[in-house]
Amino acid sequence: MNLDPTDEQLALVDSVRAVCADYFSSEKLHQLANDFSPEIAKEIYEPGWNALLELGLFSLVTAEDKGGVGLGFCEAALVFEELGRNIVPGPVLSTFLCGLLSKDDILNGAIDDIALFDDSRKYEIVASIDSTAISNPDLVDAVLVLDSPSSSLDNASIYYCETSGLKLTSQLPLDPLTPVALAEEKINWKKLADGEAALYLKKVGCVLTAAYQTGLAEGALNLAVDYAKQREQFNTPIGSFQAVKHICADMLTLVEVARAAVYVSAVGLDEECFDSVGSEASKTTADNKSNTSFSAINLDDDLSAAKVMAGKAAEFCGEGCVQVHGGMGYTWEADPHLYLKRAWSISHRYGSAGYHSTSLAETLAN
Amino acid sequence: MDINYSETEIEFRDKLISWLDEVLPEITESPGNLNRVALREYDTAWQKKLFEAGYAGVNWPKEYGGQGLSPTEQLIFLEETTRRGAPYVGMNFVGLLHAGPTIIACGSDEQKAKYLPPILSGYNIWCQGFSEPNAGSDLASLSTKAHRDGDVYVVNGQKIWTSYGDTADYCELLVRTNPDEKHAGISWLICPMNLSGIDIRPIKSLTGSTEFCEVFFEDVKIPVENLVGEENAGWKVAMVTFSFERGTAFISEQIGAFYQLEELARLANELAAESGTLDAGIKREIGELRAAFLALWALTKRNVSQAEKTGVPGPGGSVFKLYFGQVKKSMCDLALRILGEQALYREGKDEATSLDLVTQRIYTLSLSIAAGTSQIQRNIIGERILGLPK
Repeated sequence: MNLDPTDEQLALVDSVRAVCADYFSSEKLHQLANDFSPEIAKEIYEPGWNALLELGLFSLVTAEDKGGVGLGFCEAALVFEELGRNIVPGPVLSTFLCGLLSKDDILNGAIDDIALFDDSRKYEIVASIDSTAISNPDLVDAVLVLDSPSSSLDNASIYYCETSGLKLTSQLPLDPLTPVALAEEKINWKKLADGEAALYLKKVGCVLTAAYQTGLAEGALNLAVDYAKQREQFNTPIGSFQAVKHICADMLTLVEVARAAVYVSAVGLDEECFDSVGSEASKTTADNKSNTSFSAINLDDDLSAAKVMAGKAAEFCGEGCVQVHGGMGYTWEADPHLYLKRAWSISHRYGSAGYHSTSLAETLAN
Repeated sequence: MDINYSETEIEFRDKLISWLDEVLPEITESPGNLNRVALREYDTAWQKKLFEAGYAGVNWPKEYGGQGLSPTEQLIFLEETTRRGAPYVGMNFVGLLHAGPTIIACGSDEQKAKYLPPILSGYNIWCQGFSEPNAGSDLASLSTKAHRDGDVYVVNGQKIWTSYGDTADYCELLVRTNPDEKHAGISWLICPMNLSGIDIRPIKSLTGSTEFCEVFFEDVKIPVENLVGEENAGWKVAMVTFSFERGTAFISEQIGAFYQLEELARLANELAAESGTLDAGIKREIGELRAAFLALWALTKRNVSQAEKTGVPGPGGSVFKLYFGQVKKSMCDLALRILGEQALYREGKDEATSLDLVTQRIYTLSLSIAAGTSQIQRNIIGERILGLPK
């Protein structure tokens, strides 16, 4: 048993951090927050996106012989945690998931229209076929849904629609880093696939959203702690006051608890996805599982726990960061609101806290 | 990253399960916390059984009676014994979970040889003599004095909240050996509780039990060889004790909480069956608690796998203890709301892993006070992990 990243994994995270420092600095994020128009996006956002693409983010878990990086979901979780720490905006996770759909071994053959997907395009995934709010409308080429009309998990489907055919009206967004438009007419979805593939992508989306939320939470915590060390009132750094220190301690507590849950579910995802191909090694793993009593809690429970706890951490830390900054935290120019609004804007993705809590209670009752 | 158990760990679990299936049916129910003499008998009898079967001190060194296995195997041991309703560690708590580990980490070879085996065999019970009436959260201001007189320390002063003081054979005792220093004037002594000059007065806690005591010391002579670590370096030794107390001592209680939550879900379903449907809000609260316990379990695995490398749990123990206390309290709060009038009476005994949620709610008031209050844990997290100024 080991739940600490290896040196190689940490090096990968460092390379993502370097890209973020170059392309998604606080200054650049504020430029986007002030104006996320297609022109500014092209100038500010595209170079960062291309750097992430170059890094292999969108084929991170694709096998090397298929031109991918050949890593697993633990690495993906660490990468998304780092993206969250830097509030990297845009359809990064949705596009990553679409990459799985077109390149991944496990989903091979799930869809016929592979030509719809390639690395030069961006994708957004919305919650249901009844959704009308589309995030990042000017950035993405197509919108997808991973769901069925009844939202029954057993019968999930993947739907697709090009954005060029949609009549969209821009809205004032909750999160200035997540532009939103409303579709004026009911979207005319094309069904791409039925069954397992949609479920699989939902699970991956859930774990990686939780990883991103954990990163957001830690980013907000770090900013709050730095500020509490510098800002002086009553002739002393405010971080020496327990009223402030204890907010920070509660933030760290939620970050650590969420992170552990995210790592465990990422490991679970790796085992379910990569070890289920029928090799001898994977059989041993499956046998072991039946033998490990309640520590072999199934993946669905683990990822629900990760999503609930990481969502809580992101929102608590975002709000704590605003509070520790006082009046400065209430300004547009400061960073704290960017963490919190981003946390709010992704909280419903791949199942809200309410949805996952309810399903956790149901597995307990059965 | 890896959450699988190794072949040997799985083998260990299987053997343990068969052994538990064999012996547990013969185990009677605990006499409860109010009957102190019978409880000592009961708790130590179970420990003796573990010792004889080769399950005492799973991750303690072999040469002192332990099994020489890993912290992961110790985790498996706690998981399976708790899951199968084996007797709780009870009065063996201080010896097994913090005094013993502290002696392993900081004691001399003679001390290890003398004190560790009787802890494992259930022969000796330990108590904790840290807090004083005027040294609670500010523990390092403690004033129980020990001055050296030949080959003994002469101890005068008073301790309070001494868990198991009424039944213990030994006490892990913090004393002031240098009045001119604060942290650097403290020593960690092993005090036999049968020495003359020790007066023990039980305190009735709000659960109704008397598991902790006031202990008065009047010219108590403790042999110099009972000093653990260097003289005046006791604070460092105490920090090791704390890291075990906060980092690993709550693991079986944490595992117990999974079953308490199951019990709560069962109760909620039962009451819902009477009234028609289970309230969606209550269902969601149960799910949120389950999410928190699963995440804490993940954190424990992470802490244990880190401890496998370092030997001593890190300050992450404060994180665990702080959050576990909060979540367990929330669970018991919900239990009282679900139970309604049935919460007017208690069935369970005062044990951390009992399924009686009314007793649990009362007991959980201690979780944010004992082993460092939640406020002190937040100071530790703020100052030692986040580097915020004092």
